[in-house]
Amino acid sequence: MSILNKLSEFFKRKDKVAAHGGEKAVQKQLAAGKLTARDRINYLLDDESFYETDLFVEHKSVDFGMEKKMLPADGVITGTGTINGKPVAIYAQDFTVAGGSLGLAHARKITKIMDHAIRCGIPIIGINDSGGARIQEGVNSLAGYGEIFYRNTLSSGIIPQLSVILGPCAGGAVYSPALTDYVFVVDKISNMFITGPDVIKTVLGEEISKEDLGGARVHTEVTGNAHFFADSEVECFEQIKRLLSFLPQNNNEPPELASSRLPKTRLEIDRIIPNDPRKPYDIRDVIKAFADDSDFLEIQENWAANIVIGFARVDGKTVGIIGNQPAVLAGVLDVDSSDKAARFIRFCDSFNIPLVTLVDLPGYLPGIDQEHAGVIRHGAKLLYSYSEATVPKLTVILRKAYGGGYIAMCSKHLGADFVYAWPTAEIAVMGPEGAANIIFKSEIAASDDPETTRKEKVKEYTDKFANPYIAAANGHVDAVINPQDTRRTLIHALKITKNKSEARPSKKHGVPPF
Amino acid sequence: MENYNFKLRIDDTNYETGVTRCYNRRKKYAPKVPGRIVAIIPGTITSLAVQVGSSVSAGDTVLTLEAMKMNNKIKAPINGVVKTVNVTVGQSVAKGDILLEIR
Repeated sequence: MSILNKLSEFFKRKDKVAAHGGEKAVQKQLAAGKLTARDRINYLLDDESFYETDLFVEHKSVDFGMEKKMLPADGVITGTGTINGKPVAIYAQDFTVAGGSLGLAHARKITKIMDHAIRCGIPIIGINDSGGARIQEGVNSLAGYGEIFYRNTLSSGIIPQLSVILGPCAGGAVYSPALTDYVFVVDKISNMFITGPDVIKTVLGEEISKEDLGGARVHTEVTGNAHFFADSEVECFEQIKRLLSFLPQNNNEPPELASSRLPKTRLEIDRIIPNDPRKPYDIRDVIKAFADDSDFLEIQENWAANIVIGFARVDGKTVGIIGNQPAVLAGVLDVDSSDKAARFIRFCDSFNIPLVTLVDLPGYLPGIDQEHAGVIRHGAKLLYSYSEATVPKLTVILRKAYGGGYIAMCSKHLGADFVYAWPTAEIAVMGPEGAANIIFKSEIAASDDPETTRKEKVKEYTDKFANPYIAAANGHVDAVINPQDTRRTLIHALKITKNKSEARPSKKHGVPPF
Repeated sequence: MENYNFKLRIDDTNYETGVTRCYNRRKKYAPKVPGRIVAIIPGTITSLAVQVGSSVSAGDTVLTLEAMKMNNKIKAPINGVVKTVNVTVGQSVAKGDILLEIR
């Protein structure tokens, strides 16, 4: 065979497998408002940067007529490329090929690219669009899932792992995304559930649509399983690029230093924060007032919104921000907000991202539902992850820091490197009303005019304790700062803590309360 | 988010704030009534072993509920007398329906 013939055979073979599941299946995919697997990769990666691997992999299944079926690329595209010029590994399930079903060859393509990513220390992105296990392959397809989960776990804390749900992701398949760091969903395209609407109807007689059971909104507003919601696939790809810009390639390097940029707004405390600690404001306005270019990438924006988490840069350095949100449920800690913040803190700690904690909360959310949902063990996650973290930990107390909430929000006692308080801070065991009613209970009861006495006692408590100076007098606060100096102070603290090293007793791993 | 009409009371203080969908949809606590038997799964009553006035001991089968092709024996949770029977044989019940009460 001449070289030309060999080349032409190569192109012929390549074109055959590159044609996805055939014209009809591709048309169906497009009609559903979805891109093809290869187009998704090309949209997401830098132009011309994708290099495919394992294009010619074929399954070995011989049962149920499978031996006669050639599945192009076995239903998953794998390879490497670059995003913002930085290398990534990627795979995209191809729904047009046997419904993107996962058999052993399909899974082994995924685990192979995962192994590359771990060895090379580059982020991995998985695009999920699959009907589930390839039933014809039986236990081999289950083996495939298991091998993926195992690598997700080994990769955790080594390389960033992103899951993009662009179609169905049901049954066991959901556990790979659940093990990864960030899950992206798109409205009316993504579906995730363990048991689908059909099974639920058969077993429980309850009817629910796929969208209401496990659609993009459900997972970004109710379950917290997903982190980023987009209206379209293209918007989703932009979110991925933006997220990666804040992250290092792996746990052995810091995030890339960007050029320092001034915030677009100037921090004017009088305009953001109401003087009355019972009044709300949006904590994100404070973040934007000190972040470079006022740029803040919020994560899980619509779930457990009483705590705000996300990435920003200060003087060009990526920081992970955790802030109580007085605009939602007064910024209390509860089951979901503790869980949300705790996982984010562990991510930042794994990937050398300093933590900036903004405190303004009245405490924990009271309620039978909270107690019965295990707010004790979920709340403990937050204490655990803050205490465990050895990256620079900077805390700014803006207003209320009461009781257990004060301790949990990266207090000095949990190892914060620097705790700053604004003059508006109130660091106390509880708010003045509650405290006065307990401390002066008998005086109030014995008074001829209980209401006046109560008011006097509340004022007495407020004057004495509702400030940052008692905490500062005890060294629990390192400095009381002018709010206008917040950015300057954080920049300085990040410089000071840049080479922070904290030795801990060696252990295999801890036993966090999850 | 812009709507701060909600008041959250913590330690005798009312905080003006917004509220989440999950908070509004949280399950209200319903104290457990001893002796009340509730359908844990939708299905059909296939047999009734008791009637109003029957004395039962904890662990006695009081009725069978067919669901998912399984006949589930539903047992008395306490010793007592059957006070109400809300179902008949052949009746379909939904999850959460009160089937009978023992006192």
